[in-house]
Amino acid sequence: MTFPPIPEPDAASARFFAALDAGRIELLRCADCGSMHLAALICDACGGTQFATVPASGAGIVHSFTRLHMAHHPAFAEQLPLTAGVVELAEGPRLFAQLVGEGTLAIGAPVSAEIRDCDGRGVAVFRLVAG
Amino acid sequence: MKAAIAGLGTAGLTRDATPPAAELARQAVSAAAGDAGLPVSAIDGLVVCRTSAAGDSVLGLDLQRALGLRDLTLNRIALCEGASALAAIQLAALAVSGCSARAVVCVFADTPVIPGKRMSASFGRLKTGTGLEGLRYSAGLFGGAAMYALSAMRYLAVHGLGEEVLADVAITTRQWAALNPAASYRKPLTREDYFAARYIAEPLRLFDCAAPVNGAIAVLVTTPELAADCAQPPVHILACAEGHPGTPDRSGFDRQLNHGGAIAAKALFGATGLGPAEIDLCEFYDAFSISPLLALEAYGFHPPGEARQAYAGGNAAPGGTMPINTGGGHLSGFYLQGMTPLAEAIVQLRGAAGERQVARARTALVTNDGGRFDYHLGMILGAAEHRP
Repeated sequence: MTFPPIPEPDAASARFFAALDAGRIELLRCADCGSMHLAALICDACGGTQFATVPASGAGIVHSFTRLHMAHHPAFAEQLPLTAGVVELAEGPRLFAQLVGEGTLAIGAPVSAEIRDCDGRGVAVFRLVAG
Repeated sequence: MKAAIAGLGTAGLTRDATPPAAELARQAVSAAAGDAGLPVSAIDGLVVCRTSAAGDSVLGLDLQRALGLRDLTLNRIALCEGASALAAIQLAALAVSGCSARAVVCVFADTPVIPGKRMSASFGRLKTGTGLEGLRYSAGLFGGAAMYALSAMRYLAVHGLGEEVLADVAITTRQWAALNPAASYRKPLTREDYFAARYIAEPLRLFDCAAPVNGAIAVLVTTPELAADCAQPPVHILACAEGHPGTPDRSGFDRQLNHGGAIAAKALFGATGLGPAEIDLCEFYDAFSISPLLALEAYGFHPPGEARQAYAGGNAAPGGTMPINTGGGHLSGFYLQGMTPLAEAIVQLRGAAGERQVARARTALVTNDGGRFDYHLGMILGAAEHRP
């Protein structure tokens, strides 16, 4: 099994990736203004530096997407055309993710997170919700 | 700002094998000095434009030694992703305006084309990345086309537009390339050709993506006084501005569509007293066909979702009222990042564009985009009679 490349955490995303590796998506809620982030050391809305960790619902919508017709990594070679895009979580923040499933692919389409275990690292893919 | 462009030099501009980037850079610098009618020894400032994809081993500060330049008062690497070229020109213009240098050459060189290999070997390289941005690779979003496709897909959806909007950009840009002997693709592009080409990353097809070349471009920036005594008609730098929106990627913001040109436009038009109506031609960064559409809207030429009007009516095409990317741009001309639109603006404002010369070419808007639309520089250039 070839796994996709998984980024190394940086200081801002350390908590996000640790949670993902443990099988869940967690958000950072700014203690001062309540803004939600996936990765942050400073809140870009208010300048706050204290965050509480809150679980994400896993629900979101497709913010944008593309279908790729060429694989640049062996992990994707048998999945062409590969569908990937930007998902907007119900809580607000967005992330890049592969999109899977048979539901209608469109901007605004509802999706639901699935965390895949890739040899100890977690990767979030989003499944199109039918109907 | 008191600065002018006096020299333009190119090397390579080919899809064949070439010498390494540093040697192409040396050749382009020599050509730029020659074009200005100055000896290379007259250069007292050097700015190398670079993107994060290249390292010192490709092109570095030691270009000075390769050129045999002594006693420089400026030697710098300008790094602003795809906007590095205008960032370099801006630095050079500030240096000559502030009298810390007199003749500054800015150079970009790249050799991404390996004959016989697909371009994805150069631009779709395997990367892992760090932090949240690195998730693009986990998602399979390698290369520029995948990322710009996300902007293009959202642009079309938000405004209820079809792919023919992108086709119009590619087809119009090819019409200009047909008139430019230095362009990579000069055969007319029909609508059928466009739609028959394979998708790279939907909605972007082959002809929505830049034509990479191996080559170098050097531009010599000096004072308006010295430029007036040089061999070519001076091209004046009327204003330069940056715009880096840092758009948050969460609900309430639109990182896919928010373009740094909106920030730069205010500064450029404010500094010059000009507006979109006073710009004679536009040379937009067009590594992908979506880019000029977003630039036209960011700079206020059209309201959001309406930039297609620039192309659909033939205004952007040869003979039109608002010529855009008159050398064939990146799409059909050649992809040397931010230097491509700048070089074409210089040629047009000199009145030296031959068959593709725009009749009224007194002012030009030049743009550079880096990252996606994260990093942006814009510049307004004026022909010789526009000396500030």
